[in-house]
Amino acid sequence: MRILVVDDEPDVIESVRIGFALNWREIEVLGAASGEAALDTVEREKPDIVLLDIGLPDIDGFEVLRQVREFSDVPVVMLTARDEALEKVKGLELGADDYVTKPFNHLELMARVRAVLRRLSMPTPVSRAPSFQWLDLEIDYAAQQARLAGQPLVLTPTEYKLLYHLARNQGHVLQHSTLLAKVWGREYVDEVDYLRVYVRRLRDKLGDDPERPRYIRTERGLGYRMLGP
Amino acid sequence: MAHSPPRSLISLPLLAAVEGGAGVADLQERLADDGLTLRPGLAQQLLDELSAIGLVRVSRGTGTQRHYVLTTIGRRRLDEWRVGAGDEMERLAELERLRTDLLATIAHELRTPLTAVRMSVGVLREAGDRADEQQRQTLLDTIERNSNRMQRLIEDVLELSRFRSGTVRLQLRRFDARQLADGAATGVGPLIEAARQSLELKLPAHPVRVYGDPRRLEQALLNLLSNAHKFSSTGGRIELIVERVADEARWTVRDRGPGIEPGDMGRLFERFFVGRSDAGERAAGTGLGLPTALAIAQAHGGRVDVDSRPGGGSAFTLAVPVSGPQETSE
Repeated sequence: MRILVVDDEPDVIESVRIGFALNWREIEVLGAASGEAALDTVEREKPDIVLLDIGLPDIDGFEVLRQVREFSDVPVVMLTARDEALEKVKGLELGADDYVTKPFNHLELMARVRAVLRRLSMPTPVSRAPSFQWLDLEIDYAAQQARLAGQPLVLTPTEYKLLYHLARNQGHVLQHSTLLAKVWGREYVDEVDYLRVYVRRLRDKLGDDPERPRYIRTERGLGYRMLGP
Repeated sequence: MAHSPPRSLISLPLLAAVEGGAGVADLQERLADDGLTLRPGLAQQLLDELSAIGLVRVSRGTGTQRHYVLTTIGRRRLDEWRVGAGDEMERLAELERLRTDLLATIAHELRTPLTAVRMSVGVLREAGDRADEQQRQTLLDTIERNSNRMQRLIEDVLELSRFRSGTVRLQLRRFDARQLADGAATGVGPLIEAARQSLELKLPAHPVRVYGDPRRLEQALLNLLSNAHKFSSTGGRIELIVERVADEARWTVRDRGPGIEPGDMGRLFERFFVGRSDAGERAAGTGLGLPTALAIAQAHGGRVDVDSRPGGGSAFTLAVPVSGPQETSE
């Protein structure tokens, strides 16, 4: 398995390389010191996961992420030296899978990488329940397919998982932490921003107005609820 | 958005009142013309704030006698505000942004080396016994290099803010500009050698006597030389020329690097601005070298001139009056 570390500081790449060499031998570390080099390496070497610094000398990390997403859905973990919620949300909206704030140490970094890899390999939940239907929304659990007014909804695996758990608990409030644990994993129970970004995306795709929801209602301070009969 | 009264005074009229140079009394007087009455303590506090965010700096004097002028950034900001249609709230927001940016940039600049240190310490602690000699050495070198870098960064930030706030006391004495060049050349020697670059000194036959703070001027010259090193390719040539022109001593550092993009020219002396370079890794500076060199030159009543064009290399000239700082003012 190969991991690409994009950081303009060679010492960061080198210490990550040695860290993985000593602790997680199956991972080979590739390095890139600029945005251009990163795009090149992603295209040519097809790494299994990318750690991407935001402050790069040529193109900023968000732009690199945007360009990567045009041709690849490799998992991307943003590395940033700014601990700002805005940056986190911006990265997630551009399609980042996770986010680590500098200064991190090797344990934090490896835990994040593990969590992302595990999440992506988690099977999409399958239910014995036949299917879900409410207003215009239908979910065929066996086929893992959702439709809105008969038209297939294009959902990412994470969006589908989120929709699945909301639908399976129709009429009940799911707390932030519960949803985060079910969809992202237990380490993520405090990452409410992740949830907000994905709920917003789901609502966009469902054409749902948060002020007058037909499907997903925000339960302030608690969580979310799939409305039902 | 609520602003306390003193904060709302940091605005166009305040910056405009510093234009052309001002002490606390000038500021009170000029703002009184605009109908604003300031206590001396508040006037000083406002000047300190402007200097902290890099819009003004002390040009001469100490303590309550400090005299302030606009920095290049302050000048530009004032011009922008004058032509810009932005309202007062926007200007306040802009100042707030400058202040936050500065803090965020310092934090940002510290976090990257700190990451390298934390990674390395963590790996050594956790898996040090499994690391081979070379890996251990690499990690230790990383820790040393990055903690040095953090220390330098902190010193540079403090030194620069001391200059801006006028709390630096120059250690003035007479010295030969040629010796200063020699000293700086020796200081930068290892870096130049490591990159197989060459540094050529062009010194006049006779002493160029200067009255100034040799330690700080050498620091300024070192910053210019270290930039030339960073922006020169491996094997590149750098020249250091010393000359006396009229009443000035001049040290010119000339490189054959990529030159400076016209768009970057105006930002060169901003704190933490780091230019791009083909030299890659070598170019990772703190972005404090030039602002510090400029502050040192200005404290001597001198300046730093830049001559550069893309593809044509760069020349930076540190120029100070040979007779010392007290001879000049803004």
